[in-house]
Amino acid sequence: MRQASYDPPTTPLDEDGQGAPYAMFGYGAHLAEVEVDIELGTVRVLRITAAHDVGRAVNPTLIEGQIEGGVAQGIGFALMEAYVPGKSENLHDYLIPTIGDVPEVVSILVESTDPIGPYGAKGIGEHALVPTAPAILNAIRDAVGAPVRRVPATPEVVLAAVEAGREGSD
Amino acid sequence: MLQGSARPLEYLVPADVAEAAAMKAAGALVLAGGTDVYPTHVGRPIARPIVDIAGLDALKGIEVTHDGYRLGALARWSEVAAANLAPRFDALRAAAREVGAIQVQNAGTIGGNLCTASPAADGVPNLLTLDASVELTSPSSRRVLPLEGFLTGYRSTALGDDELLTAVLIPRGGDDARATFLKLGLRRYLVISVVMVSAVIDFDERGRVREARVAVGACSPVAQRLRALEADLRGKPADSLEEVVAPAHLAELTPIDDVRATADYRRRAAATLVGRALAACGRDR
Repeated sequence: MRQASYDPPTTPLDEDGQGAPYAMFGYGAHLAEVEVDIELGTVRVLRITAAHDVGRAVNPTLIEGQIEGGVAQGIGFALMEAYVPGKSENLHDYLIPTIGDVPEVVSILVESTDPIGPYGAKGIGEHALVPTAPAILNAIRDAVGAPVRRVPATPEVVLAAVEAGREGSD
Repeated sequence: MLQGSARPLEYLVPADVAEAAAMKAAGALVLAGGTDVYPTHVGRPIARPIVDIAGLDALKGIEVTHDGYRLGALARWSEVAAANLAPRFDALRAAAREVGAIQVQNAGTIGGNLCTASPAADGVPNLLTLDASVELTSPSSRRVLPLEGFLTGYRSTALGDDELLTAVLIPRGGDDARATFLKLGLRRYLVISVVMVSAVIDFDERGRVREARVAVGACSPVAQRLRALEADLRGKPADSLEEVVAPAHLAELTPIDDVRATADYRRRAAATLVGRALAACGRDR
């Protein structure tokens, strides 16, 4: 019997916090197009364009699925998911996006050469959802003229930003 | 395997309405579509008999009667949505498509929606603007109550222990009235309303309001008609209804702060949605 293992090369952080904690990094950028109802503060996401450096795209369809799933989670993070202990401890009160809340997702796979991942592939599990909420919040800011600094950006939070934007432009 | 003190659940299937009402009077829990019964018993075993009324034909169907319309208590939301009803039912039918998800609409009944008496029941404001009454039947009697009298408070009704809600009755008249339902929730589907508004407006041949009925839900223990606004709308032209709305018209609403929104937000959103619902009815004329 033989055993083998593989541990991607990393180095521990030095006293200045410098080092290589991960063997590879994936880069991504999301562009959000949103519509804000400035009387109600509701936000409709119209489209997300998601570009991701995936190393080598071994299975492009699977990657697109991961990106779409990540975007859906990111929309939840941006607009509705709020954990309130004792209150939203179920999927009745803790809202996650439905099919009606997730728009078209345009995925752009940016292939790069990665010497470490299998066949040059990088991961796409987590970083698909990292840029979505900031992109949506920045789109809201662009629409209403004031930043939203709280998630989820519920209608109430967005309406406050609409008002702040109005005051700023007076 | 049943453990120690657990008892088998008694499941009763009545032959008719009188028997069902008698079973309820003896303490049984009424089950129709189950969409409200089930969530309230997750993790809490049902400790009393269940009377399943879903097979009672007398409570089914939507029909036109001499006095108006009769919606059987067992009419499911998907039936209401698909029913061939006059324009004044458009708001109710829109609400039928917003209750839960399609699976819930296929199971949940209009009678159950009213008996649960949630402040956020999507059916209620739309039935209030249709001037609905409810038919209550006991083993020995039948009475009809206006819906406003039936709903007595937060999850409370005038239903007697020995009574079943057997039908929702809508009076004749004003079939061509325009009707709009607007629901605001924190996501698109499958969501409890933060605010909802129903408006039914009957216009005369000159395009002025003959009769207006407006109700707001999820902003008070029971959805409320805005009667002062309705009175002020009378005689107004279709294209200027939104301008009639003033803060005083919504003064009787008593919204609360909860996990979904604050009272202040609800009050503002209600005013906005009322204006939009009226404008939509006017445009639609």
